[in-house]
Amino acid sequence: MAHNATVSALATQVYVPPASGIPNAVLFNNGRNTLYLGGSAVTASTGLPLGPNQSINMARFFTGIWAVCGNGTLGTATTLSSDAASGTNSTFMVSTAGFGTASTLQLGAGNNAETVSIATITGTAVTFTANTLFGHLSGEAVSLVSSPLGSTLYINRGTE
Amino acid sequence: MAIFANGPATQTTSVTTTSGTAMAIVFNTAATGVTGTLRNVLVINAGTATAYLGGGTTFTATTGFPVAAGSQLLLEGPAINIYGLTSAGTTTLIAGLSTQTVAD
Repeated sequence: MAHNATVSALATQVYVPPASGIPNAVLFNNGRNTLYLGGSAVTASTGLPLGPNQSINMARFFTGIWAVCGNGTLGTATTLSSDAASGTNSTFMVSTAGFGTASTLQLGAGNNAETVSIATITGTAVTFTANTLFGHLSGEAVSLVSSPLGSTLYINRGTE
Repeated sequence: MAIFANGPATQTTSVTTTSGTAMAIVFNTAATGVTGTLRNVLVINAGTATAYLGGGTTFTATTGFPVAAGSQLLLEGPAINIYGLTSAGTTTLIAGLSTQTVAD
């Protein structure tokens, strides 16, 4: 049974041992940033590091494993706090927490929606790598499409 | 450059509840006989207590990577120093390179 788990700065249980059998698993970091593996209280300064493209093969593992990413919390949905005219490359957001350089955002919704990539963030002010195609008003939705923050872990679990 | 060479002896460590900077080092990349570009570390808990592993000496039994007695793990990638402790009692960890590139 294989699946991918998204890992951010909040510890997430990535391995749950099966109820029966002798459990084996492979955890593969197929994301961009180093993950840290450990118990339920694991942090980036206490876990066992697993870099991008590295894996852990575990044999006879009967206890759960948690993971955390040392590179930030993923941004959650927010809104614009000022108007962004069409053809401009900067605006303000209510919150920029969890958004970083090279994060891809969706501005607006419906026919007015477009994706932009962040060039810089200063406080709540953001600058995009290109001008917007449409105008956006204060209060319009901003959501995260992709981010250089966080990482993903491929988990393949089985039993003997 | 050697295309085949014997790897360094495995490192057998008695791991206890000792924490902090005095914590036992389970795999030491600077150990005698360990040379070249090191990859892929195998760790086996050959003792009777659960061990907790980390890449530094600041972790505890609630934050470290748990390896129960009889369990083993293979960390595939560049070798790093690995430290260990138990929450109670003593266990024996055996660690070594699964593969090795030797630079002559």
